[in-house]
Amino acid sequence: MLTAIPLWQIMTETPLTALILETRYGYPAMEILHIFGFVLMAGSIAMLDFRLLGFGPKLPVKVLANYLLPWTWFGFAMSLVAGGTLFVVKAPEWIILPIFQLKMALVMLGCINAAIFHYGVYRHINQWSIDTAAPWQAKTSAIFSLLIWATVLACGRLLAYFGFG
Amino acid sequence: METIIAWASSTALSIWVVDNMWVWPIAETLHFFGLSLLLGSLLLIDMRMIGWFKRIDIRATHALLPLVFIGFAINLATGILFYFGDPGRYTINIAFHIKMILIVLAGLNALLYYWKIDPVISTWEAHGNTPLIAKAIGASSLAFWFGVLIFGRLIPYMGTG
Repeated sequence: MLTAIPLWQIMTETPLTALILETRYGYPAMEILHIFGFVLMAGSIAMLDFRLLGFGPKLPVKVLANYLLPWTWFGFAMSLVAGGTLFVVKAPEWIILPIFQLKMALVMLGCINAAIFHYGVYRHINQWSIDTAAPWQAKTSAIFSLLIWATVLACGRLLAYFGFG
Repeated sequence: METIIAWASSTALSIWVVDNMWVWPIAETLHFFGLSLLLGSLLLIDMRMIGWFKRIDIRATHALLPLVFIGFAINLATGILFYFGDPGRYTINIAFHIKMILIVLAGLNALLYYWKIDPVISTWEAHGNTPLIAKAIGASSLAFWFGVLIFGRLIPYMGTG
């Protein structure tokens, strides 16, 4: 009879895991890519959020968003791939950490918040792109976005302290 | 170097960081926030300086400069805490040395910006192309700061004797 082996246990036995752990700079290289990714992502998100909250009113929100969004996606993809690799290598240890679970839940919450913004108030962007205060829905989204992504960053950094060595 | 380490370890700041175990993780978290602010806003400013995305008024991007300084101030303050919290480790670390050199280069590059670009930027066409020197300063700035990020992360992995 087959014994059920958790998926995250199988992950640690893949060639990818071996490659990362056996290459001297494999693990830090993935950490650097993960940091690159979230800096691009969180940085570009924060720029848009600050603009929505009234910072730099001469920057048209629509133009700024069009410019920043590809960076946000690129950064998100990069931190997801690199973060996924870091996860796979030590999956059974990560998955049981409450702070890791919190981080993942917040990432999902951050995405939902972004979706509400884009499919909600942003659809009428032409009415408030420049020289006018953003509507309260946009400001609320911006505040949630800043808080959520800052907490994701904090959870990520604190994994090293509440997790394993 | 021994003298520097001995002096730094004996300061009140060093003792405070070492005695309060919550200081380090909080400072590291803030260091990430500062990094994102610094690089996030520089990305916009520098890419526009390089000549990308001319639909944005170049002077409007420079309204973001305070965010760069806030990010840098956060990272300078928390960085000082790290250094004094573990001087024996940083003083002799190669990745830390390279990181500091890159920060100095980035600082000189910023001075070049304030010398050559800042006084004339108001005369530039809002949505026009940028002169070669602006492109060079923008590209160097991004290269230096991403180098700072890389060597910062490598501190625990590289050359602590």
